[in-house]
Amino acid sequence: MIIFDGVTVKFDSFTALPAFSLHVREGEFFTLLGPSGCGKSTALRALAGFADLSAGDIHVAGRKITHLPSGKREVGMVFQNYALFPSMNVRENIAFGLRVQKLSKAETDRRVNEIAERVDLSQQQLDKQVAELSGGQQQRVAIARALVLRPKVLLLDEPLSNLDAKLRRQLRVQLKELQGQFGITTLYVTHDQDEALSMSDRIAVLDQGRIEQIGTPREVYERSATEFVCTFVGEVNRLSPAMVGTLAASGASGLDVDAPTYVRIEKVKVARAGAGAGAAYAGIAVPATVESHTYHGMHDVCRLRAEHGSLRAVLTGHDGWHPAAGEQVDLVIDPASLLQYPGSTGVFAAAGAGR
Amino acid sequence: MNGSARRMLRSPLVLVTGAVLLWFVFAFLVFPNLVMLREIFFPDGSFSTRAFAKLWSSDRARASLRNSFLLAAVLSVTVNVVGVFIVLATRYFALRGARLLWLGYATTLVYGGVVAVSGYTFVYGEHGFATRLLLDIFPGMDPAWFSGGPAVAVVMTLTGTSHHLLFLTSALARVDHQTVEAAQQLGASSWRILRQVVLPVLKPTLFAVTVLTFLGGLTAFAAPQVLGGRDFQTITPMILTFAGIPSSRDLAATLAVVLGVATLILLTVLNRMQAGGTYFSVSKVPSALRRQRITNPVANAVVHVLAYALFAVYLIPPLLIVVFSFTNASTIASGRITPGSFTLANYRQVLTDAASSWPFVVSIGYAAVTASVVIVLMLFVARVLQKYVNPVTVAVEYLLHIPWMLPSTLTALGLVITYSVPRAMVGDTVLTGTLALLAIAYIAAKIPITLRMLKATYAGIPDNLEEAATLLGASGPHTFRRVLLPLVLPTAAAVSALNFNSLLDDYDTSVFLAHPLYEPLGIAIQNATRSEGTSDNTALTLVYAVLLMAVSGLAMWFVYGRRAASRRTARRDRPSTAHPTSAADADAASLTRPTPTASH
Repeated sequence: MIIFDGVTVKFDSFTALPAFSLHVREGEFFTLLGPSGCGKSTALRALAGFADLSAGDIHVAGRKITHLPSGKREVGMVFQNYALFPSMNVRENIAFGLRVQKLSKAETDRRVNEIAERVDLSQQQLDKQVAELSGGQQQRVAIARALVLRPKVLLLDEPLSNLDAKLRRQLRVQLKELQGQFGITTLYVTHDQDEALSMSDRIAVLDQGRIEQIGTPREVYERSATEFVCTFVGEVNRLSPAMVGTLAASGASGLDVDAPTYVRIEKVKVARAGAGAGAAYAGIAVPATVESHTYHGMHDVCRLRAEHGSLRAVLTGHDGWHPAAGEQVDLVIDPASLLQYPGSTGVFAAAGAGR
Repeated sequence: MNGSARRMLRSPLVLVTGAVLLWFVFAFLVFPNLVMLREIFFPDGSFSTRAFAKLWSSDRARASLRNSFLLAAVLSVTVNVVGVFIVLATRYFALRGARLLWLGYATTLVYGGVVAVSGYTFVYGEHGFATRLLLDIFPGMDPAWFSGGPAVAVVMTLTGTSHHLLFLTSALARVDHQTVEAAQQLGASSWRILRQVVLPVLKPTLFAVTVLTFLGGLTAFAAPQVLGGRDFQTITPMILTFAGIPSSRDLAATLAVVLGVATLILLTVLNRMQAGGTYFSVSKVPSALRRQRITNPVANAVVHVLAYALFAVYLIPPLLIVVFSFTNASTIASGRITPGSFTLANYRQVLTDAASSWPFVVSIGYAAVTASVVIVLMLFVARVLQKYVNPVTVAVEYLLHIPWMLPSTLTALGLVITYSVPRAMVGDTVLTGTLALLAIAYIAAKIPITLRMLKATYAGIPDNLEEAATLLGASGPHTFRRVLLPLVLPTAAAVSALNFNSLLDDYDTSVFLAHPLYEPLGIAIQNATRSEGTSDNTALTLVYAVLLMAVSGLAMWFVYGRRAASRRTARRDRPSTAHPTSAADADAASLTRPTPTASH
């Protein structure tokens, strides 16, 4: 549906996007995820026609749009701050593109009312000034304004970043539902991994203009292709070579002791001292001391010191046990949950038992 | 050629407007100054410094230079002392009746330039109201007591605090109250907090207004011309005198250039200081400054007495102008008001008699036409300069600021000298003495402030509004008309109001360029003020002054009052989604040149 074919975007001598290639399937909710300055917004703006390409082509629905002006690309966009026209009311904002196309008043009204109903905007809200709406309502206006022209692709440029945490969570669900209703191919840009993991059909993780991994959220999280993806998505512990050696000596096979090795913090289990592996959790038990303990509501996070380094672990506290600082415990690591990136490339390699 | 220049050259509208703009810039901003320099350095075709030697040998010219710099230095101190006091009294300390005090001090915003000079002369001048009262008490005193350097300094000090009211008040409002509370909590006294916490934050603004005050003193015109007498003449009135004598035109040009060079040096210093010396609040959640109580009862009483004494000094002249504008000629002459003194005849005459209303009609006509031309032109030019950044647009932008960098006297004199002979670039016609030349000078004078404010407003509009419109299929002109224009129009209207307001009582430019049959209000007021004794014209002048104050008040309310009202509304309602810069928010932009009402 969307094809970036060797797209290069330069700003003077700086190359923001070097030979970027990507294929987004029809109807997909596809996310570009990465830190600030990784090129994700540049890719989106190149697709929208706001960034000049130095090389490469972009296709949408089989049509090359590389040299088409923005307004002819059949692409709808929701901006980070929504970019609603403050001098117009909600109805005028939504009707803007239809009026540019010189549709009759009757047809314009019909389509505005139709889209407003689908995004759950009332007639009363349509006659309000955009400044009078809440953040969530403004977002729905921006989506309606983009979708009323029936674009082939919807671009979302960090549309939740200006909202408070609770509203963000609510709107994630609404946004995903709307995308499902319309069935429109959507390219979403964010630096928020929670958003990417919870909303996307597939994710491309970017770093310095290059794609590090493309995959489903589960693939990206659980089988991070590169060391960058592993450390950028989720929270991980980096194990010292000595600790990897301890695990290898304790029976974990196929581990490369010298390779950078990570384990996600929720994969490190904590058991009462002596209970160790087997009794509560599968894996290799290592004696440790609780250094600190922080309460997060739904779970606790412990910092544990073992003989060969410190690790963090998530405790769900289901059994009502909350180890205190200084308490002796066993940390249990399943070698199958280890992520190793041997060699200079830092690319994921299957290692450890069970892989 | 970079991408921006290439894109710019693809637009025929930009090309045509650019060509017209370049012609205007060269013909009326650059060329007249080159002609002036030639007049000074190449009077007979070969290089000569004769003009400087002539200047140095002229006692009057040397005295005017000395007096101008002396006046500028004195004002830098006096205006700051009074200005800082009135700002602190109304906005920092919790004084009783602070709002009323502010209204009194703010009369300078609607009452400046020739109107103020005329007002002070009417009250304290040789035939002034206060002088007559004083003569009744002290018959032996000199009736011309209010003249010379001290009188000029007093008038210019009192009317020169408008920069403080606008800019220092605005800077003070940005002081984070939490820093004051933090200092209090650390045990600092009120005096120490003011000295070490508050004033350092205001330092850049104070420096800026000091430079502006110095420049105001250097280019002083109406005040020294009326009140200075023979012994205290300054550069600008002297330029006017020399310009009227054919054999001394080179002397006028030399003085104007000296003034221009001094202005350029000071503005360069100001820009450097502004670039490096601004303190920004580091707080993520700054809180509004709350007025501080003066805990020492003696200090509190002294400050109250001083504040109200100044209030009276500020308010009396404009108040008397308003009162006496409603009285008959004999009352104005005698200064004694009885119930039978009041009449509407003066207003009836100005509003119904063609000859009496003529200066007002001329001024309104000039101000309306030129303010409209400037705003229409700059709405487009500011957009182009903001959108396309390349060496050509940067150079044009600098050139458009020439009237801001040079005193209006220099610009006016340049135009008079240059277009007193036929010039090819204006169709081989002579412009000096025509109606057009004053209009051109007005337009040129208002370009910099209009451009800066509109450009700041355009820059304040988020780029993605335009991108959103483009993505929705709108063309460039459609996006400009439907999306951008509605957002800049409030600023455009406000800047137009300010421009209109300041042109209405212009004197400095008009006195050089006005057509003898179409003399604007500034000249009429000044002529009436300088005439001996009280004439029939005095009553008309008072009416002109009142009408000017009313128009200025309306313009100031339009620009600042509406903003305050909308802020009050905004506090009640939800915040807006876009933040176009308002004209009033662009105050800082005008910090490099005096405000319109502050010219003397």
